[in-house]
Amino acid sequence: MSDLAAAEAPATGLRDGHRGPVVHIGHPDRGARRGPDPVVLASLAVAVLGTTLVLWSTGATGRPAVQAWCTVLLAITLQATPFLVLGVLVSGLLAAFVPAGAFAALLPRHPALAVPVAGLSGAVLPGCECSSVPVAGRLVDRGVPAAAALTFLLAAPAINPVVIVATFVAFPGTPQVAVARFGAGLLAAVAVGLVWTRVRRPVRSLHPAAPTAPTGQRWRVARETAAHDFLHAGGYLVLGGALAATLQVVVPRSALDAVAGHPVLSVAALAVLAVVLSICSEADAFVAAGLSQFSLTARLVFLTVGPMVDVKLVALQVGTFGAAFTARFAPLALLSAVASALLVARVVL
Amino acid sequence: MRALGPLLVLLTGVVTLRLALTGAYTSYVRVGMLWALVASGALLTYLGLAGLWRLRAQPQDQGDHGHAGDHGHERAPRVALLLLLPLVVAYVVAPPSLGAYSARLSGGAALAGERTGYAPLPTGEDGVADADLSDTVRRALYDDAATLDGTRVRVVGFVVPTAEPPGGAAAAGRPRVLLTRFVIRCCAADGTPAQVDVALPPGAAAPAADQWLEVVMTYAGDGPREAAPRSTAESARPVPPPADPYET
Repeated sequence: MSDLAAAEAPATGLRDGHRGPVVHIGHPDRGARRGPDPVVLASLAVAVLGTTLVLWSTGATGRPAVQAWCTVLLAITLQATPFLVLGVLVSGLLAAFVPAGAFAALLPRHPALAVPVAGLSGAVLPGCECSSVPVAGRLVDRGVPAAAALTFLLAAPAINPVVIVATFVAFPGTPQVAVARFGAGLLAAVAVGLVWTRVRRPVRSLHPAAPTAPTGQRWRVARETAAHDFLHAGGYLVLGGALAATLQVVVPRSALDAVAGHPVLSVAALAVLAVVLSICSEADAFVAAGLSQFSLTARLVFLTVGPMVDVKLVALQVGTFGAAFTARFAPLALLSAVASALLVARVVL
Repeated sequence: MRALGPLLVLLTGVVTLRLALTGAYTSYVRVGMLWALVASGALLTYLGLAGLWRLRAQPQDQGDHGHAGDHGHERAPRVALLLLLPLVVAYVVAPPSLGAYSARLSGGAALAGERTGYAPLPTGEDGVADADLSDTVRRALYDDAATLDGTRVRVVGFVVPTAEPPGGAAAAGRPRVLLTRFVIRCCAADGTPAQVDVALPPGAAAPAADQWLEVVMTYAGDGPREAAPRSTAESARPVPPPADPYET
């Protein structure tokens, strides 16, 4: 590829240098066209939800329900902003300084090896799920096989050192919770990755492919990629935050307490809570510690599901990989997370 | 509208910086997030300015020719317009920290606590100990050594009106409120209320929901563990909302 041409038209759909399993196939335009439709639909949904809330409380901004909704929306977006910025910064630097295909060359060729390696390498990104989505999207763009990039996407927020240390601190009496969390997170991520190598569904990042940047332009490419990724992911973050805020105001958390004692329902309840709350994986251990009416097994499910599937994260994934992909990926991740947590809890807790 | 993207990034950066530097952010996230917010706000501001600067420097280059589709770097994706939502909310609604409405939604979820390891509460010259509301609740519910019993503590929280009608033998003539403070681990989205069921001094007017009070009170002793611990107040005065409305 000509570096000059690349600099002139940074947003061409051209990609090369893929060495792994099929990452995207078919007409390059199809994926690109598939993007905007769910975006418009989802934006519409939020607009409708928001308007309903405002209309429903005719006093508008003075009403407690509206204020509570606004507080939670601002809380989620503000809390996520530094992590999202970290993620898009890493994404921008990857796009500018790492040649397409470089990571794919580092990974073992056999997917059964590449996936666990990708899962373990998730331990080096010290962020939460808001950082890992743009980074994983960029990894796909840089030619990392889809299954490996997705394993990284799921593993990074679940097993990185910051999260594991936070879990140790949150459960001072029971250090095995942190161990179990690491095991269940890695297991769930690798399982999803291995399933993905089998199904070989095409994955494409909706982010524009950034060609290898010419030397003099690298910082500019890094800046523009970071800004663009922020606009993209940030929009979806707000969408997810708005949905999570709506769910929190509409479905009171006290509704969950009724099922705390039931072995099956309590697991289901905490899995649902993890999806609805959409809290950062660096803080969810403290929340889990507070859910003392639930069993450790149910709380491990909460800790394993949260970093992999939640409302805010699903919105981010739709933005990065598309709605059709997320409709398959999120349920698979949820299933894998719950199963892994139950399995590990049996052995460790 | 190629300027839309950089403008949105710039606006988000400026508003993040402003919320951080004015201290308004403490209504939504932990105080410790200050420097992370300042750093990310500054970086976004820089990215936005750099993008605008480049448009100024090269006004009509490479905009619409070539293969740049609607996913190109040159145009903001439509979903990015949603970034305006929190910015508008921050300025138009400027929502307060979590209050009585959210406390009622949370139900009576009890705080978790240890059974041991509570240092004695140091009392000041007036014989009253300043305490966090959440610490007070934990001591009342869990402390095996009963360090709270008989101690006069001064706590600050906001009012959640009690559901049940006033009255009861012990609390005759004393209006009762749930004095509340949210405990957050990360941001307001994970807030859990710490609540003490306080019998205010006799004859006091029942304060409105969300009114912040500074209360000097004494724990009334063993109650049911699942409910808010009961206390009797010797004084209660309205105070402005504290700079950090949450406890951690």
